[in-house]
Amino acid sequence: MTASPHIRRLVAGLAAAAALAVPATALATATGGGLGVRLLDAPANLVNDPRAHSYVIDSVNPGAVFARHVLVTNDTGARAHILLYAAPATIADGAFSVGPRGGANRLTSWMTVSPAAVDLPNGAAATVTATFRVPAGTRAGERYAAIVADLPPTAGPVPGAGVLIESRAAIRVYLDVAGSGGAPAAAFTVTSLTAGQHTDGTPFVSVLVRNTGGRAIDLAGSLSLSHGPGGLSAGPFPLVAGTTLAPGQTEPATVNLSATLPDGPWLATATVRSGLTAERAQGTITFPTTPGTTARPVPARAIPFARNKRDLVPIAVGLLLLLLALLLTVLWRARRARHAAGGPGPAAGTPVPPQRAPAPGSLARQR
Amino acid sequence: MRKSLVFGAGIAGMLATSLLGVAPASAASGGTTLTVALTGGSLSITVPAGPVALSGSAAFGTVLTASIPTSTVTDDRGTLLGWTVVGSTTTDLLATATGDTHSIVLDPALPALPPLSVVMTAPTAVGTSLLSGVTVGAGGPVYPTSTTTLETALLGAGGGSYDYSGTVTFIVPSNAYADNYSTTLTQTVS
Repeated sequence: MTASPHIRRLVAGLAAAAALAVPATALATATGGGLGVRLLDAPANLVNDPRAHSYVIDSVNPGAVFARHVLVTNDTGARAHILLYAAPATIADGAFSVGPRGGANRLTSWMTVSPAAVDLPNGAAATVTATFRVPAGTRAGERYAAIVADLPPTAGPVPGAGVLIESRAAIRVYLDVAGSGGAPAAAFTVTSLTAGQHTDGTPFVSVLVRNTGGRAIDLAGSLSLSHGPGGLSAGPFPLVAGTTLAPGQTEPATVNLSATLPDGPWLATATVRSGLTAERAQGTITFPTTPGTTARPVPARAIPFARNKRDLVPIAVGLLLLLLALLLTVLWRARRARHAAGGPGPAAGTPVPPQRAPAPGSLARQR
Repeated sequence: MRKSLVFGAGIAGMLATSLLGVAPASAASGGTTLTVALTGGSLSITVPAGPVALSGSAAFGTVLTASIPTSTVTDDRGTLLGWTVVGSTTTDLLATATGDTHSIVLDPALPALPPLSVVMTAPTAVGTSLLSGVTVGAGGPVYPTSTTTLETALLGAGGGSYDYSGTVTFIVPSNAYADNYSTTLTQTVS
């Protein structure tokens, strides 16, 4: 349900004379509304990484040229003139921040967004192409930007009007330029677990994560409790997702638990994921009794997963040796079978039934 | 006996190959030109039409507030990656009359109280969207052309539609001309 644009403008104009703003009718429906963006393609070798379905996370060599496509949709209830461009971005305080229109960084200077603007009737969509040209000789590293669809306010400034409102929806770009050592992998460690209690009495655990790899990470995951009072277990409880860390940054990710849990002590196991990389760590925690406080941080011990390269490679090598031994056994038995059936004489080295030693002075018979 | 040996050898060979073939796909090779078409929905935002009006005296230190009507974020992407809404202004507060060059500067480096701040309310779920994991950000002063300050909503559990509204606060700075000023508050979801 939307008010027509004319009625909205008239109401907004009337509101300008008073000190109160008039609430706009909610435009959203359960299937979406407003200005929308959707990434249309991903590199084939990253198709299993969920981050590649929403963000541009390519890792390329200097000199690479590639394009990505974004679908921009208009469900605002009116015709929209949408601006399209690349904006610089930063990662700070655990969040991905998209910069202003007209801002620039090195990555946006390599990006061309076409078309630069589009006029869409309500309910229509348009495809936007973002072309990336990485100069040869670019220093390795990950850089951040966003492909932005920007809808400026339709109402112009009027006397007495304080603040107009503009909306933008953006596709994040985490572009990594690989160095001579190849593309860096995403890696992170869980350093500590801090138990606490919110002011409303809800217990929480703050999982401190450090980005030790070469790519920015977006954290998600869960926390399970076990070996609690009376042998209780609880969880898994989800991590509040959305924390983003650039390489080298350390930020906490919060897990909110149930207020009915006893204080502990508990063995807490945190599983943290970013894309296809996951880490698991444990620590013994006890929740504080006073609301609004935290306990002392507990160092987290890393627990490797079973399906870990460190375990699989020796197993695979062992199986290959077993395979080799079995093949050799098969070959040897085949030769024995041929010999027993009266075929050509056995090859050198094949054991033969022991012979009686020849009598001294007589010639041994040649075979 | 021979058949079972060959069979066992085949099984061992297949197991070895599949174990060695397991590799994390997080490190991508460069220069890829093969792409895959994606399905899934969009990330979208609806903001109120505005403008949000504040009016009052020009006395230094006067605090004016006004409500920002409801904005809505919808995440249909199906990737459960979460989203962030950040806020910034497009310009300083500029006088609206043509040819009027008065302005109120919004600059984080200035030592005075920041003139313009935005704080959003806790989000509410639209329809059957799950609210768990979606939270309001700290909010705070908003500026142009410097790194955007946050009015952050983090999505934890799943996609859906979420409404939120808020308050914009203006504190009259020193040496402010009495005039009509305007700027644009930009909300960016990514």
